[in-house]
Amino acid sequence: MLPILSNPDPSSLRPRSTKPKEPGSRSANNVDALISDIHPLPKLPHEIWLQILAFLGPGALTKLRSADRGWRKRADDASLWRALCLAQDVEPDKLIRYHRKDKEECDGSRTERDSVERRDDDQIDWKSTFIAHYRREKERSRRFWAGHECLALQQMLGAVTSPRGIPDGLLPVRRLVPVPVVPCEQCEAEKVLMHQLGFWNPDVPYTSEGSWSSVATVYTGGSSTSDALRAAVVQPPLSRRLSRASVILHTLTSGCDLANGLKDFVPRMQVVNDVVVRRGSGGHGVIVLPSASGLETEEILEGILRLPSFRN
Amino acid sequence: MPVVLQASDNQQFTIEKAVAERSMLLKNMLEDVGEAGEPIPLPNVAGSILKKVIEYCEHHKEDPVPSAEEDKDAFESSRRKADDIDEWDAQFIKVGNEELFEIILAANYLDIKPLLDLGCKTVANMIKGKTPEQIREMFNIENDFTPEEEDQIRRENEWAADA
Repeated sequence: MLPILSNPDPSSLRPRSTKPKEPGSRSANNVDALISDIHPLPKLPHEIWLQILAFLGPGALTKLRSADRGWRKRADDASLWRALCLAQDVEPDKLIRYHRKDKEECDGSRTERDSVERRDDDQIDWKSTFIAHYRREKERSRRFWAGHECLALQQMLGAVTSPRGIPDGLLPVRRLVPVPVVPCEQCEAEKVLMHQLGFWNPDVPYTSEGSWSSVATVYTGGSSTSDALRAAVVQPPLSRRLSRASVILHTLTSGCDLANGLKDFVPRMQVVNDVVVRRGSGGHGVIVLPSASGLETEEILEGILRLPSFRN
Repeated sequence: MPVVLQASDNQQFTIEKAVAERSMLLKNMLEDVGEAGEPIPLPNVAGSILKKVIEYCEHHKEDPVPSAEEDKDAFESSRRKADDIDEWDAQFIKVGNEELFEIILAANYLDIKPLLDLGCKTVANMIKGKTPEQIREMFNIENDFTPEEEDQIRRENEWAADA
């Protein structure tokens, strides 16, 4: 009898590993296996499709999975969602920890388990993990914008008593807004990640002392409520180690409490300008939002513009 | 010492060793067999595509070869940026879809990681921003979902409605 050879199933849609292949291993590819068995037109093997789809964000993947069964299968591949989770530093056990913390804060109860069992990668539902993370961030963002609306109202009231002689259009209202000068725990914990994301100026080593401005200068545009051109400017930190763009990027991508405070002073228009319009211009903080957030720039812009209160 | 490559249609190309070594497959091959001077047959690559691939390798022959470790880092951190294609590469990859897929296959077979990435990014950019209907058109596929499945997908996609 012939020995039963291990049978690498070419139709298997789940790669065992998403690690990059070792050089040279591609040479062993069987030509027939290179031909996709799902669609005749894009004659690419599943493995390459996964590499292509790895460049897409959650929005694009979600649209893709609605195209047909073949694409649904590909776009749902665990390796893609795993990569999206990793890109945002979302680990399943971290999520569990968040949950537990939330619960403690809510009902004061402490769960007995202090350590969370680590699960094997294979057992993790990466897509669900990502969706949970996404929802959490969305809720955070919703609160952020709600806070902004309150501030905008205050600015509007403040504008009434502004100095005269300033032409219509940009009417500056100067205010001192105390921002706590405290080191950000999350930034400290994620310093390496933040560095990779370009949040810290690589030329200046980050130290928490004095990096944050205690003052934010707020400008409002015009006195009419329909004026969409109001813009807030967070004054660059005294040390200039953080740029305004960095702060905005940070507020959008991290859970930093300090940044949550700053969020109120950064209106959407500013986000659009700094994050979207000035994307890639360099110099003003490194803006790498797409890879940092796992969202596509257009998707972010679309999302921002679709917020109800942004339309007027 | 130049290297001779022979495409599937028997077309031969004589190239510098440094150019051939952009391909990890050829690099390993040259290390293993030494420089015999014999043409290396590449039965999976047509002449027209091989010509294109060589053009890419010629242009990038001076690029530093990333070490395995750097490669791994790049995989996690900079992997997802599809819009950082340099100008020359962008011009180079402006080809028809059929040719684009052939180039990707050749880059995969020859193990030329930067070219494979370039091809992948290009296809990703083609998919980006398209509606499901536009994607179907692009790939010439039919919507094969039943109404029930469509419903289910709509529900499953709700979380990303504003993503």
